Amino acid sequence: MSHVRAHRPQVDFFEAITENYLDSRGARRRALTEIAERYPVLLHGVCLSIGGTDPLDRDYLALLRRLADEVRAVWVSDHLCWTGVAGAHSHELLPLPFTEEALRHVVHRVRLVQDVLGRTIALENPSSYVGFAGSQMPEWEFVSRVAEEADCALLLDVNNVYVSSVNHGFDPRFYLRHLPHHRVAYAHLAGHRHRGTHIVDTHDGPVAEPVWELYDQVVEHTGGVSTLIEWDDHLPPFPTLAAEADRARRRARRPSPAGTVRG
Amino acid sequence: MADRAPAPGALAGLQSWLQAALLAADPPEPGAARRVLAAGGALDARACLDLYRTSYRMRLLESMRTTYPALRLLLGDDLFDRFCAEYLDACPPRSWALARLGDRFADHLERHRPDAHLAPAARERWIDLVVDLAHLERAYGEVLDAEGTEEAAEEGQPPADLPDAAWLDGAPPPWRRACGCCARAPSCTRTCWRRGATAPERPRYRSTWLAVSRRDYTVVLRELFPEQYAVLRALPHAATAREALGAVPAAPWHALAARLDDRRPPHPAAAPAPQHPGTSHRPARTPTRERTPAP
Repeated sequence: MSHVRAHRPQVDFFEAITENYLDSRGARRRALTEIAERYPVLLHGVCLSIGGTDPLDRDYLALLRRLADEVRAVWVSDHLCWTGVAGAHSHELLPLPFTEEALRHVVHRVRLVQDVLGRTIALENPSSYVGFAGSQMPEWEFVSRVAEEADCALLLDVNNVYVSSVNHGFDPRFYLRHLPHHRVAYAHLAGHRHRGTHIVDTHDGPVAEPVWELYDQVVEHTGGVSTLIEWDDHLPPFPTLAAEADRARRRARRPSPAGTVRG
Repeated sequence: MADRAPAPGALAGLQSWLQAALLAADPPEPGAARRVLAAGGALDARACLDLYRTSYRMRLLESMRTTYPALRLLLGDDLFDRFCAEYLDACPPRSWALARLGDRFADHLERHRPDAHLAPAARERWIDLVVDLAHLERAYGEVLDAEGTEEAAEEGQPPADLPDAAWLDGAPPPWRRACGCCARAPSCTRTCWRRGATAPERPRYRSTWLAVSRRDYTVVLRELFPEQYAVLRALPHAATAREALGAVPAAPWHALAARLDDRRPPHPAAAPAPQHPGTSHRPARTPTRERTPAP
């Protein structure tokens, strides 16, 4: 934040992890307010639990709406997953089974959330390490049908597509080709770690080359979308992060499609 | 508009199963995992599930380390991590806010202290130290994020810590979460926070009472006398400041209230400490004010 205050870098937008600011009235909330005065802000949540079978948390949604209004959020997004049931919060992005039942459940809840928030939300495809024996459709179909039937947007995490494609053995290019491209609101890029038997979505390094190649395909399909570099751990100096975003900007071949920083 | 859709049967059952498998101390039987889960790539179903089990514990442990840096330093990584693991098994998170993960940590430590069966006077002082430090660091985190007076100050409103009679009898100010928290704390607290990577070799236990407040987004610790501490403890539960003062049956406080009625006195916390009835064994110094580095 000190770099942003001192240099006011040319960044297209900032993405903030929703839960870090939802109920905060301290210095970090003040910092977000400062940023929102100068830059577009996107809110990205990890605890909406849109696929969870507990009732939606109305208090959480009320706080989210207030925060989104206060920072004039351009987009409010979360993950196509669940995080806990029976009142528990695992703080993990847990995978959903790709079944008709889960699809109906998620679509119903997305509509409710959009009504409460008074806005279209964007859902992100999470990375996953396990599937379910009872799944009835591939992930790309589940994601696409949720977006179409709930009339919501997609936050396309290109790194997550790659990570899950390795972990579950599907073709990431086929996945990207069959998404409803007009619903992609923006994209995420991130680093990951290859553990030999699987890949972990770590967000602790530069974007890997195979992910850049998939990103080129996303640009081709969508015509270029705003893009955020997720770098949450072992954070480099701000200029390094900005350089990674510039790389996305150049590949997207659009005047100003790429953002940079997540706080 | 309520979420009236019934929880889907199979989906609800599957999520309950997976969460139980995630939170349990031991992984599920391989056969059960194979029936529910599909293996991914080179890993079998149970190994895939273990990735989530490990990630769940590491994320929460990291959050606890962030919330309790001084306690971690004092105990060392191994013991701190073990206490956290026991706590998280006993009290899995119930809030979306990771900042609230440790809400019950100090109470958990107190409840499970090995000398709980002894009379308070016979208990180990070092365990008091651990519990009290956990309370203090929890209070620190709460104050750090609470609604404070900074925004009002930016809008040109007068500082909120200059009370008068209206303050005594008025509705509790909304910023009191950032001003009223306090904790009994071991005297080594500041040492732990300052040293960063090195714990004091032989921490000395001497209880101090601290007000934890915030000014200009910086958390401030202020040492209190026991009566001051008691009033601050009563404040969140009282309708007015006068009621909180009345909850502490010590003559100096009633005198202070009378002086506030005359609109002449300074703020209790900024005033010279009231003389305790039995001062011979008490520190005879004025409360100190000190900015502390963020833990």
